[in-house]
Amino acid sequence: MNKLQTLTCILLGILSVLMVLSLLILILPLPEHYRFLVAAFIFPAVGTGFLIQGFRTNDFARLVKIYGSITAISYILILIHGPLSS
Amino acid sequence: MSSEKRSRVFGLHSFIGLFLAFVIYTVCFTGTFSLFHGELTYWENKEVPTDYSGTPAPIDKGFEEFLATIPETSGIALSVVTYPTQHKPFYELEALELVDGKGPPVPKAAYYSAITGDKMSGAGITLSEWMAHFHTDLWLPAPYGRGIIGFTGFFLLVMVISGIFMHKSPVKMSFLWRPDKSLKVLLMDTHNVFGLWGLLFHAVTAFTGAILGLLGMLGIIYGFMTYDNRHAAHIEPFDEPFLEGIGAATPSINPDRVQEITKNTTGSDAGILLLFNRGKDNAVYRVYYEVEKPMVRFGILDLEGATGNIVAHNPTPTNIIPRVFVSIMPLHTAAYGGIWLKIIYGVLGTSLCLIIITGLMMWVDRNSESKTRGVVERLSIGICTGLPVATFLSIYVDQLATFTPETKAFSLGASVFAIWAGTVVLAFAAPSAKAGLRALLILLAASLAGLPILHIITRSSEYLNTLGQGTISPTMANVVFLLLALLLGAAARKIPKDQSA
Repeated sequence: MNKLQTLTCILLGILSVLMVLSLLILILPLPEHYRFLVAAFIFPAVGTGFLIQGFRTNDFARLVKIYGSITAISYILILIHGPLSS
Repeated sequence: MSSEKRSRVFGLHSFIGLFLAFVIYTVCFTGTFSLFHGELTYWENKEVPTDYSGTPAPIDKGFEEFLATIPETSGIALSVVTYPTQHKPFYELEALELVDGKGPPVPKAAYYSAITGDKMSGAGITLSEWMAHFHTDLWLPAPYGRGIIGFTGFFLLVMVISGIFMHKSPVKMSFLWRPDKSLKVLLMDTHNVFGLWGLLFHAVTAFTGAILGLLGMLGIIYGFMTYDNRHAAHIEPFDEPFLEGIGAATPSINPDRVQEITKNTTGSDAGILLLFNRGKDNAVYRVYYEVEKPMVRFGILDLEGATGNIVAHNPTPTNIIPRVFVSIMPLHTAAYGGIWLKIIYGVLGTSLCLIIITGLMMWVDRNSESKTRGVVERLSIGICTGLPVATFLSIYVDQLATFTPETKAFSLGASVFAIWAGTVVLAFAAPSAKAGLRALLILLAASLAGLPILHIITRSSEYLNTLGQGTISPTMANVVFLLLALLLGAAARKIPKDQSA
């Protein structure tokens, strides 16, 4: 992977983690306040796992597909679920 | 893991390392320095009393006097009283002033002696406080500065964990130390040994730093993704206290009464008091007091501002989620194990700085044909050696120059950045990279060696007489400065004089 590809994958990886955790906030069976705490707490761990496991096992094209799919699926599920009312 | 997989993880590790090395180094160095911010209070501040017995003088008069400095046309979004401790034997009073009743809030602060209750002249922020704020916020507005620091912590965690996966047998590597081989091997062994032995500390610090830094930014992102009106989520382990009311003017109790109620209710001294809507019928106070419970640093007591009645008392969060969350701060700042734990954190923090430096040097060594090699090498020397030089030389500026409290933070910042830029120029102007490194290390050692002398000449004889009578932290700081100076002086002597880079 060249530098631009590496940067693209890192940014996509972070975006996919944020989308998955946003989805988690919507569906976790916990009081609303605690869902945000949990999502904030696990962000570094999940993000690190996503990036390292992704880079270990995939090349650029597959990484883009995987991170892109996770982001898109999470976003669709967020839209289907609907937002929290504040 | 196959060599191809390891090579891909290595690509991630070195990409992040090379692009963020200077930012991560800056955060690590300022964080290590800020660990001892409390211990340096006596050393830096002439006015701090050294004979505090532990029973603070009343503060109500000083508090009223402080609030009276805020114009009547302005509102106060929040006021905060930090009660004295043995490390900080003075009251710290803060208020967020809403100029003409509108935002953004402007912070105001004043300091009062714990012994007399009198206002300290307050020369403004000290260098260690400046460094601590630079470490947490880069002196940028929230949540941007803190967010950058949070992402730095996140990427540091990625580097720490990817560092393990890069090695075939990490346990074996952690015992491999070959100083008699080439420089390349020595750098690699140092990088690996420091990284693997300090693994737990590096991972915990990076993880907790990432959470602390990213809370504000994640609140905005998660709120945007999940709330119907897309407002930022408030990610805090405890909700803010709230009382119903119409905001009618009503007298409120003052900090001394709060201290009394806290002692009677909890048996502990109040640590920090937050005053919401003071002087109104919906005034509500939150008191954080120190508790000794596993993973929990502060108990919380909420009081009605008008009567002092207890609204809520939460000595220990019952739910595991806020309980884990409140443990992050002490884990990050070593505030749970006394001075010896801080020293261990300090040593490990320094090792993290060395890991970054050796990583950069490995890149320089590996890319000897690269056009940018020389620039990266000199930039590394200028930035990595220059930051400690700028920090310790700025202590002289802090102690010797006269600033008004309002301009102190700006002046200290200007001093740190000007000296830092000067060291980068010196690194590029030196005849060789080694000569530049040698000159900067000698300058650093000399600035450290001069600090005890500076301390003696800027203090009164009465103050110096108290140093042998129980208050050892300024003496300890002077001893540490001298030891570090000797160590760096010896390191500078090891660098050959006449060889070119």
